[in-house]
Amino acid sequence: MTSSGHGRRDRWLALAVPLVLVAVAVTQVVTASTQELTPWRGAGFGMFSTLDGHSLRVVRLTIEDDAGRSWPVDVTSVEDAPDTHARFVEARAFPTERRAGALASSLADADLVVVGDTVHVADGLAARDEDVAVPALFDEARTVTLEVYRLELDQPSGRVTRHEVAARTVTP
Amino acid sequence: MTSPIDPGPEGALQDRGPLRHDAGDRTQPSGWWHGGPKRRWITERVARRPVVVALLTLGTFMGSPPRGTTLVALVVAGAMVVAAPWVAHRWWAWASLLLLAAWGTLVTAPWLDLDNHHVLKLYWLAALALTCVAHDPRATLARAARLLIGFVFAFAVLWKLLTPDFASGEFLTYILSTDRNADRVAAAVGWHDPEVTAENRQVIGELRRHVASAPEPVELTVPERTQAHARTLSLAALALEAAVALMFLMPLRGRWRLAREATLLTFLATTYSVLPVFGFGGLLAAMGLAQSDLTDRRAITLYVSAWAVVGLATVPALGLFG
Repeated sequence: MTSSGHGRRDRWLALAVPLVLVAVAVTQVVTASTQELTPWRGAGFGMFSTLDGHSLRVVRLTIEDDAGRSWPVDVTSVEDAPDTHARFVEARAFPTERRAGALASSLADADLVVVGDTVHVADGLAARDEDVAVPALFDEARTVTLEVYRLELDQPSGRVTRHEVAARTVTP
Repeated sequence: MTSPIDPGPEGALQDRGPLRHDAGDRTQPSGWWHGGPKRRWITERVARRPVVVALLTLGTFMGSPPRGTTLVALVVAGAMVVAAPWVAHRWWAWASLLLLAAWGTLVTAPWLDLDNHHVLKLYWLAALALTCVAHDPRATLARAARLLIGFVFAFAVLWKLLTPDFASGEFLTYILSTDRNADRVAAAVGWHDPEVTAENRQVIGELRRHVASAPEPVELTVPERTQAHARTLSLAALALEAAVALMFLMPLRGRWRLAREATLLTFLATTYSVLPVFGFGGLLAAMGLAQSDLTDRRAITLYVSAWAVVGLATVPALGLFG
């Protein structure tokens, strides 16, 4: 190969990975700017730029049973349980209909227990070493509602409010 | 006076050869860098830039292993690089680590559960593997590292401009008022009392845990000094990141190239002392060393020091503001 051939090859070898970075990051910027994806996730390098971060988002989950009663879900147990963790973090970071459905399905497949008037994922409680000796079992979930909020801080007053990012009601 | 910039035969991106000492070092044969047989062994075998880049990369991975790799694999890889430095120049060595990390990162973990530095680790491993097969591996890796750093900072700046809560100071005010790491700094410089931020964390914790029943809005205690400094800090951070992006993406000549080292090292020393993310900071130090136009001796000294500062800041007991 000639020296200019070597030079051209080396230039492409140097450019290849940075070009992949740019392609992925541009996709992330467009997606997060137009949909509910948090800027912190998706390899667009938006971390530490906004309060709308995945772990700063507030999530509310509600299960409606066959009798039509709504049960609040302990979100921490959903996040801590190995079987629901992945679906939870995906739905929190990018709460689309599909991801909310996947989270609902993983909840339907999990062992749910009622402690007080709140539904917990049993494995998530166990991960926190909480006593689940005599829980009432939870039978059926008809629908699952996922609400994701971002926090906003009013600087002069220090007041923190939550603003809805997305709300999805899905059937497991 | 010896130039701090590695002259190279025809400029920074020309071949200096991975196994050659640079001109700046040859003019100073004595001193701690070259004295004694043990030091000479270190100088000749280990303290070469590609080997140190490899060791900083693996050292960062040991502190924050890419998913899919194990500490044992990384320690073995590091020992191999020290015992047989030529391993750092073999594409298959980096490709093997890349495969392990890509499997662990992209296949077994949800994409949306990955921090940006998890992905940056994959990019860097891929760059290390690809550039090994270049005609001029060292210059090719330097260019790849420079572009990777430049684009990372360019996108970070873009996001900080797109999101109004950064430039307004809202984001940093919240972080300084609630985050444990940032809180240490604000408390150390007397902006607020750590007990206040502990209470703020409790208030936010209640809001997060009991979404249905917790009163809303909640009020954080944010001292005026924190608010005032947060906006200044935000603008300073934005300016510094923009400077890094510009310096690394613009073609620079002569001593202007030193601006790259100055901006990146300032970023590493300041940002990661406050918000220690070793997986990111350590990797940036390794990439910074790979692209540096300084002589090997100066570059290694500076970037290994920066890497150590970032590493030490992540140890709470040794944290700069702990």
